[in-house]
Amino acid sequence: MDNTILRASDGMWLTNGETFGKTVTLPPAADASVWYEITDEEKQRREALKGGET
Amino acid sequence: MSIAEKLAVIAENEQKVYDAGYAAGQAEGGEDVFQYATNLDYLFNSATFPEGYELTIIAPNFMENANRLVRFATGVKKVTLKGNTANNTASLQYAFNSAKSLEIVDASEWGAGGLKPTYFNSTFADAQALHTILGEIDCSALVNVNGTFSGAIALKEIRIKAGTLARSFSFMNSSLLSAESIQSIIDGLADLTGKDTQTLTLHANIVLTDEQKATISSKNWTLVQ
Repeated sequence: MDNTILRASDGMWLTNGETFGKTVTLPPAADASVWYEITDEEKQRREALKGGET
Repeated sequence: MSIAEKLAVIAENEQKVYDAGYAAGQAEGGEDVFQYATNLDYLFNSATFPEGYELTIIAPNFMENANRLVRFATGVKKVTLKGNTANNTASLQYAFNSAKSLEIVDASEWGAGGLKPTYFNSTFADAQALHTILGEIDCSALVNVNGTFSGAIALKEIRIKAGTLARSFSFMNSSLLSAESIQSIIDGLADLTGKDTQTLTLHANIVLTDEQKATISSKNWTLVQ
């Protein structure tokens, strides 16, 4: 199968706004343009915002 | 009698002793009040249990909500859910969230043999000692899956009903998933051919076979690690 594999640069994370990873393996029908890089600091900030109730 | 047969007899006898004790306890303490419960919201939220406590809730008339069931509870090691005779879906928002000593959730005698959640947000978030969820989780009724297993760092055993998971899901923090659990998760993915791609996020240390990766892709799922 013809997959597209995206890999984050050193010190960076890939995200589509919902989840985070270092490697993203896309099936043929997926849209790669929704994935972009963020810093680790930004990732932690976003995860903290998702914390919800305390 | 082989050792395996002897162990089976021992387990059977232990169950009989447990059942007799439970029945005796009911007789002494009155009826099991949970049999009348239709919802279990906040039931043991922030409760303090004795260390190592094993909580059993038998709720045959369960209807809908078990949000925050043992959220922030301390001391509870195992939660067993039985009943839900009608196999109703359950809202499980924060149900086991931050129950730091919780190790096992047994829903094998709940509903049709496992949890069937709707609101599954933060259900097991920060249940940092949780390693086993018994019963097959039917994901066909999911409404919200935000942070379901966020911080569930000890999770090892989980089973997903085949083909029922059709929305993006994350096990990002669960590096200890067993091989059987990983396969169950993959088998649990619905085939999204011709539909919107969803994402499955696994911990970076989870090693998948080429066949597993191909299966994920063939179902039109994006794999994130």
